[in-house]
Amino acid sequence: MFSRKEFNQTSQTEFVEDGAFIESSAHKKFNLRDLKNNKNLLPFYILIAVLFFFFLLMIIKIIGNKQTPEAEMIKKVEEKIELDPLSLRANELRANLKDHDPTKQTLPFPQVDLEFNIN
Amino acid sequence: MKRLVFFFLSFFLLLSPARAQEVGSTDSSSLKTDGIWQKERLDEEISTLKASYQSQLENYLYQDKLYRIAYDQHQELQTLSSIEDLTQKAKSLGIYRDEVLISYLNLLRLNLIATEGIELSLKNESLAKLETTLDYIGIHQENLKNINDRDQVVASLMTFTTDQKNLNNLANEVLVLLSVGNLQVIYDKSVVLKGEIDLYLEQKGTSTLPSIDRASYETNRSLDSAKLKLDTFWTDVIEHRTSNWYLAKFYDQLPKTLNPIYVNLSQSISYLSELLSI
Repeated sequence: MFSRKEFNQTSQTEFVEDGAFIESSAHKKFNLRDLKNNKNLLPFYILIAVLFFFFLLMIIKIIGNKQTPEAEMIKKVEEKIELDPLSLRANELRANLKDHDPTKQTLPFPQVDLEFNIN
Repeated sequence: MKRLVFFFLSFFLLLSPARAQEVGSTDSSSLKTDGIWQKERLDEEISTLKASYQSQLENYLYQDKLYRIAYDQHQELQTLSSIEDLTQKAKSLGIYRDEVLISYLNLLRLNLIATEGIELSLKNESLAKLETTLDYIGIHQENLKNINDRDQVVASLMTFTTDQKNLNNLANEVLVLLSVGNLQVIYDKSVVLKGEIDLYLEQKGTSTLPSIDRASYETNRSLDSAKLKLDTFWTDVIEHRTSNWYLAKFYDQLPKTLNPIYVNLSQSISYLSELLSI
């Protein structure tokens, strides 16, 4: 039923002549091992583009997942602040007090010599 | 005709108080806006001046190095050119020093104007002293720029040293006023906030609860303690204002003097936050 293809050539001359045909047909396929010699790089570019697109999608999804809990937290904090202006003022007073700690001097006298002269 | 005149008169008389009120309310809101705008303008001016003061101080320190090198060289060489070089470097250093001091005193002046919690008579006295000193240093700087003779430069620098020997005391005096004034402002705002919290708790219906009542009492006690210390300080300073540089002497003891007030205020503000969360 199935005929086996006769690859065995009895005539060596024919085999040698077919060699060129076999080599040239291999050129039409994409050679991963020797990229520089590939004449048709379009499939390679398409493949890279598709892989890059999927990679980008994955990154966007990961970032989106990360941002969601943070965004929720920020919203909660904002709600808390909006609901409690008196607490906000108390916090501002606390920060203000910290800025005016008497142990810290923000405007010390400059390091200038008031007594120098030529003599 | 008379009825008509009477009608119009009454109509305008009825309108005028409303208009006055509108104008009045516009005036008070515009005053508040002016106040905020002035504060913002002052803050901006202080920020700009601080930046230029920093760069002027760096220039001064560089000139100081050049002066020291010229001084050492003159001590070693004792030549005419070393004298000339030293004279020029001393003159430049004097000019840069005056520039730094003018900026620094202006910074003190602006901060003094911007700080609200300072006893007014003390504030005005210090402002007057700052302005007098600023005028003096400005004139000194201009004179120094115009002289080239060695003896004149020596005389100018010596006069400055004699006339401004209390410059450090003046700065210390202002710094003490600023430190206490800032704490006074925080105390005043804390008292206002306490009043609003009491009103809020009353509206909420929880002000009579024993826990809140006790917390409120403790907060008031802490605030009163801060007030007592602040009032004692201001009274003491006003009593001794004629004493030479009395206020400036507090500068070295500033942390020791103000720490108790700082601690009271810190405690009061914590209590205020706690009151809101009970």
